[in-house]
This record gives sequence, C-alpha cells and structure tokens, in this order.
Amino acid sequence: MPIEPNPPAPATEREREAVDRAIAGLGVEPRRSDLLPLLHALQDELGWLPRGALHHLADRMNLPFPDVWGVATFYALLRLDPPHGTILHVCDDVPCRLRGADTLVHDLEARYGPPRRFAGEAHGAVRSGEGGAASRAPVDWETVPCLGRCEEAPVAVAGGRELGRVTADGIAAALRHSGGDA
Amino acid sequence: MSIGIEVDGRALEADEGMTILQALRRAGMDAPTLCYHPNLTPVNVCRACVVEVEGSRALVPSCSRRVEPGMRIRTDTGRVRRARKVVLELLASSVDTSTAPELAAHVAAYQGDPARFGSDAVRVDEPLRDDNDLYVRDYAKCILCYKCVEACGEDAQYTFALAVAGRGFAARIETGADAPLLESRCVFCGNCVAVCPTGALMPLIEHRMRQAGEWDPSRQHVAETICPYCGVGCALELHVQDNRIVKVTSPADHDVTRGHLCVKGRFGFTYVHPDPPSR
Amino acid sequence: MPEIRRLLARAGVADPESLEAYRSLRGYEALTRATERGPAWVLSELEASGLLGRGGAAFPAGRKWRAVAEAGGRRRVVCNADESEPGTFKDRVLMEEDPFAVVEAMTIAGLTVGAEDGLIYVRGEYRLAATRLRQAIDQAERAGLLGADAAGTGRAFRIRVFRGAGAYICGEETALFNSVEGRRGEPRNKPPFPTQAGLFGDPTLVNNVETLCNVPVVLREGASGFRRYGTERSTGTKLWCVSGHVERPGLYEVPFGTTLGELLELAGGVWRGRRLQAVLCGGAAGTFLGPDRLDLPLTFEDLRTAGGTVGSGAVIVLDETASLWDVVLRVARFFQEESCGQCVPCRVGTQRQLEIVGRLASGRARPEDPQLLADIGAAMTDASICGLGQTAAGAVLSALTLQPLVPPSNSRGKGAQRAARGRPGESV
Repeated sequence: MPIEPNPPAPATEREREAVDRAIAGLGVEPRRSDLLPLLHALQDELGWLPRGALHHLADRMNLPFPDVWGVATFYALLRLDPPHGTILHVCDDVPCRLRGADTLVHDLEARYGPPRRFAGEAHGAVRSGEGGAASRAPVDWETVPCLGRCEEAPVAVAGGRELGRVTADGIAAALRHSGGDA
Repeated sequence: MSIGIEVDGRALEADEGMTILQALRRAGMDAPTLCYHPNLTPVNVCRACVVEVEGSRALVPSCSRRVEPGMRIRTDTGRVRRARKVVLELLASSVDTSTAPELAAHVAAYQGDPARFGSDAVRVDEPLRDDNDLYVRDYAKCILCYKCVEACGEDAQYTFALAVAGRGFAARIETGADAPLLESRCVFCGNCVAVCPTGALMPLIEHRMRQAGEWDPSRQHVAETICPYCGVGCALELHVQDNRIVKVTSPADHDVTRGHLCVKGRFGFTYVHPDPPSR
Repeated sequence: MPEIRRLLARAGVADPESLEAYRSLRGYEALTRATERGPAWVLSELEASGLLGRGGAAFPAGRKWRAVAEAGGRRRVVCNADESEPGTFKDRVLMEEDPFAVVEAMTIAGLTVGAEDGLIYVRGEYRLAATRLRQAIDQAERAGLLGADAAGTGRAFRIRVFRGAGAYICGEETALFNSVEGRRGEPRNKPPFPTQAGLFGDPTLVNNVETLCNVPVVLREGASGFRRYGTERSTGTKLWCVSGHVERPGLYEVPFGTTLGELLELAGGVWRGRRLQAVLCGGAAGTFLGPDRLDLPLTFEDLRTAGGTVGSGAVIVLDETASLWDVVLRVARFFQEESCGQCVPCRVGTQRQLEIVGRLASGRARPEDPQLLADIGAAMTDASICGLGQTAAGAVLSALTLQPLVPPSNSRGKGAQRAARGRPGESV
C-alpha cells in the first residue's frame, strides 16, 4: 500500500527568521543541549513547531532531522500542528475529577467538541489536527494530566491564564477575555 | 582479569568487563534476548534477558549489566520466569509475529499465551511502507528493539536516518515526520534490515516472494564469497533459491563487515540475473 | 499534632521577589554558616540529620552529597523540580513562594560537593515558578551570592533554570539528564548512578526541591534541632498535599509520625460530613489505603510496612460516594500516556493494564482479569527500566485488595459508565 508522500517542508521566511533569531539569542554556537530551550523559544514565537522550522533548526544545529523530530514528538507541551483557536488545557486527573472535572469535561465537550489528544500519542503528530468538527471550533482544547494546583481543583489553563475552581462558564469568560470568540 | 561470580548456586569464572549474558553464554547457559546484538551497544529495552542479582531490588538486564566480583545471580527463579514470560507475551500480543521465529520460539519456551489478553487487545496498527525498490518497512511487526536505529547511527553506518518518535505505546521508528525513504537521509545500506529481529524491515525481493508464496528457505542454500565491487573485501553470503540469488547477508562475526554492508554489496546483485525478479 | 511551618515559614509571609525579605526571615544564614564551617561540617550535619530524599525514593541525602563530594573531576548539582506526580503541588508552592530557599540550598550544595554548575529542571507547566526562580537567581548574582566568586568563597557557582516540556518521565533523574542533553527523555539503565556519571557524564547531585529546602533548616538548627520533629528514622517535617474530598484541600507541613487521621483533620476532614472510602497516598505511583488506616503514622517506615509509600507526599481523599474504579481508570490512563515507550514491560504493560481496568471500571470484567493484572503488575514492577514502570501497577493492585473484582453498583459512577462506551485510552 503506497503511503502518502510527505516531503520535507521548506521553512517559510518567517520560520527561518524565528529559528535564526532563537539561535542568535543563545550568543554562542548551539549545542545539542540547547535543543529543548530552542524548541520552547520557537513555539513561544510561532505558536507551534512547523516542520519546515524543525528542518531548518536541525540544519543550523547540525543535528539529524529524525533526532529533532524524535525529541519534538516526545513532549506533550510541544505542538506539531497549528492551534486552530485559543488553547485550553483542562486537568482531568484524579484530584480534579474528584472535584467535578468529569462534569466539566462533559460540558466543554458539548460546547467545543471532543478534545484533541497529545500528538505523540497518536503517532505521527503529522496525522493529528485533521479532526473534523473539533478543528473548526474556536477553542483548541485538550484534557491534561495533573497541573499541580490540586488545592484549587478543578483547574484549567485558558489562553495562558491559570484558573482554579473553574466551571465551563468561567472558562468561556476567560476565553472571551483572552481574545478567543468562544 | 578473572573474577568469581555465582550463578544458580554454581561458581563461575568471568572476565572483568564482561556482561552477565556473556558470562552465562561462555558457561553454556543462556537467557532469551531480542534487542541484544553482539555488534551493537546493548540498549536493554526488551527486558527478556532479566535475571535476579542479589542486592538488587528490581530484576537486572543480563545483556548490559557487567559482572562484579562475588555477584550472586539467579536465572531460573519463579520471579525471573514470570517476568520473562509476561514480557514475551506482552510483546507477542502487540505485534504481528508472522516473520519473527525467534520471538515465537521464546514465547513457546516460556509457555506463553499472548492470546490471553483478549482478541480486542490493542495492537500496533501501521500500514506497510513500501516506498522504494530495495526494502519495505512493516512497523506492525516492529518490537522497538532500537537495533535499526543503532545500526543506522553510531554503531555502524553513521547515517542517522532513523530515530524513535512519539511516546509510550505510540512510539515508533521514524525517518522524521514519516518521510518516505527516498526523501529521508537513508543511503540504503540495508544494515537496519540485517539486524531487524522480526522481519519488520525486509528486502523487497523477499517481501514480494513471500507475498506470492514463493519464499522457501528449505529450497535455499548459502554460497559464501567476497564482494566483487571494491577493495575492502566484505564477506558475502548469497542466499540462493532455484539458482537465483534472493538475498545477500554478511556474517555478524566476520572481521571486516561485522555483518554490515553497503548498498552495492547488499542489494546490487540483480545484474547477475538477466531477468531479475524485482518489481 | 499541630502544623509546623518550618519549610513553609516564609510562604505567604515574605515577598518572594525580594532578597531583602528573604534575608530578614533567616534567609542565607545557613549559607553563611556553611561557608564559615566548611564542606566537611555540612556533610556531617546532613548525615547526622537523617534527612531522607523527598522526591519519592527516600535516599539518605547526606550519603548522596558525600558520594558526589568524593567523586573526581567536574561535578554538577541538579534540582529536580519536574513535579508531575498527580496530586502533588508542594514543590510548586516552595518555588513560587520561597524561591530564594531553593537558590540558597543549591548554592550550599554546589560549594559543598565542589560543583560550579547548578541546574533547576522545572516542570514546563510551572511558568510562575520558573519566573520566580530566575528573578531570585538574578538578585543573588547581583548580591554576589552566585557567580564567579559565590558568597565570597572564591569559588564559582552558577545556576540556570531549564524548562521541561510536558513529560512525567523527566522527573526520573536519568531521563531528566537526557532531556537536558537534547535527547528524548528516556531513562538510562543504572548503574552507573548519577553520583558516578550523571548530567553530561559528570558526577551529579540530584535532589528534589523539598529535599533541598530542608538543607538550610538542618544547617541553621543543627542536626539535633532538625531531629526535634519526626521519628528516629523519618526525621523532620513533611509537606503533604491534601486534595480531593476534604473540606480544605491544601499543603500541610507536619512532623513525620503525624497520623493519617490527624492530617485529614487538619484539612477539615472528609467534606460534606461524609465517610472516608480510601486515600490514594503517594499519587498515581502510590497505593490506596482504606479507612482502617487512619491511625497509621505517616513515616517512611510505617507506610512501607503498610504496603504504601510516602512517594511525593500526595494524599488524595475519596469519600464514600466516589467511584474507586473511575479513579483507578484515570491512574491507569496516566501511566499509559506517560510511559516513554522504551522498555517492553512498561510500554505494552501500561497499555494492557489500561484495557483491563477499563473493563473493570465498566463492569465488563472477565474472569481472567485479576490474574492478568497481577501478572502484568509483576512484570512491570520487576522488569521495567525505571521507577515509572516499577510503580505503574501499585495503585491498581492495591485497589483490587480494597474492592474485589466486580465493582459494586454504587461505585459505577458516571465516569465508569462513559468509559464503557469509549475505547480504552480515550478520554473518559
């Protein structure tokens, strides 16, 4: 069975500049141990890690692309496809579930469609982000493991804002506040 | 320097720097292995070779742990047998083992029953990657032993076309963003194919013949020769079926190759036949 | 037994962004003592204090420090701040509320073991903690407490903050090293141990945030002063993260030896006047304790005897209405999602465990399931490379002892019913 062609994507001008700037910010020639900080810096600037940017980063760091890809797909906070809306992380781990996270997740599903799954889980981060209705929702949301704020359970992070003792309405308000038109 | 160890109550001499597995094998004993390869750095990930070492809370991988003076090792306790059996069952329940006789034999030796996890147990679900003229990748058969990654990288080829991507049960061997081999760094030396223990990586000719029901090791013989291409002098084993070369390997214990070849030695034999049975 | 605010003395009291505020509440007293009296004194006090690591493994801190101090060549100090154990937030609070304590303790560690490089590996989600630590490091550098001549000792010590990116496994120290080195966060086989060959191959002292924050207390109070609280073998105070079905979830500092019941009382008891069903002690990697354990003294030794663990200090409380198997299912999914995938028992074992617990949680258990869970649990515990796989079955197996195979109907909550419709592994 032939597989879909999946050629190396050339970096856009903006992506190249982001990579070059992040490396310049180190002040020294990049070493392999700069990889994760550089991936953070790229994602902070671009919102995600486009494949072209990763190719350019691998070239600039003199690292094999498969190694960079292997690292990028390992971490749940690194995104390998563009967010299609305001990013919402909802803790559904044990302490939050005991304080209503299961109901909360249910309510959010009704509003925003099913949550996305960690790309590294679904292999091929290349394949994620193709979800149907969810990818058109204005909120790009996922359930996440314990966020370490259990004293305020249930908790969520909406558009970068940490929310404690949260409800679906509270999340919607925070998303409006952070620019999402949810 | 020789050091004394004890295995299953029996005093053994081992050389300093040896692994437990090497000491076992020299004494005529053994442990099942899957990710171990004599010419690759032990990654100790399959955990089939675990043994009990006195003073160690968890079991210890014999393929990588070096012997120490006075080490007391047990290879046949209930704990060891249970761990090995379950590890082998777990593996066999998760992948297609149809071209992995080694794994199947280990499972049988430990009376394993991979089916007991249920017919609905999730398996590695990957399409066959048949994207070039030399070899196919069938990751539904992959046990993630890392041998191909090592052979492609620092242990032999220094090409670094392969790495592990993803995480957990979804971790896979990858070319990076799943690029087809022709668009990856691959140089088609086939050294990954040579070390694959499950047939997940397979020469295209063998794959085609198996599909057609023509692959028959009982009708094959091996002719040893030296590679004709350059002056290095790599030892070749020509696997011949019905007077045609169907596969080329090199002995893992050969001084020159250590089992590794280049694209010409491994795949460049079809010129021998006027009408090669390729695609 | 009352709360003792020793580790939390400054939390919520002192401005965490002010070095002066820190100093005014006995901050940097310990470093001064350490530089006056020297590394040998620090090591002997630490050993005499009986301080055990608070990251989960309970290794004697003094012995670890000495091992690195006596190692040759370049040495390193790493603070493990990748706190990711479900139900655990103590390190976050310490870093956010008392960041200078972490910096002071690391400086003492660096000067004592002879390292020039310190690194704090902060969980990626903990942005405020990382910011506060960076601010503290900047101020300490400007005050000459870090840098080429740290605290006027003539010796260099610097600290940098390194952010994780969402991987529970990176709290395992050798996975943490790989993560910093730009590799996948897969654990290494031990030996060699970090004290022999750690970050970048150098002998490395790795301590958890809470462990480090105990060090200035030990040096200020002296070993005997430190031992004023706690038991003979579990010395000092412990931070417990109490969450779930209690009136006042939060962080509580009590002496080791406080009973589980006393701790729950501090947190206001089981909420809504309900009865206790169980406590998940130690987080996902911990075990369930039933209501018959309320008299259990919380110490390393008593918990071990009870088949439990101090673990990360997480105490997750389930009241009588909670669905135990819904909780167990979430724990099983946690391990399936967080397994790095390197070794077979953990990679496939956590997947199979999730499938089976999914059946149990939805009342579709098969007769062979308890045996399967026991076998998978044994293989993961015995044969996995690292602590993740070795503890991945603990909560599941302890739940089986609390509640036998087929869960009674009252524990089949909404979550469990939804799990029945979903494929195992999907969000429930």
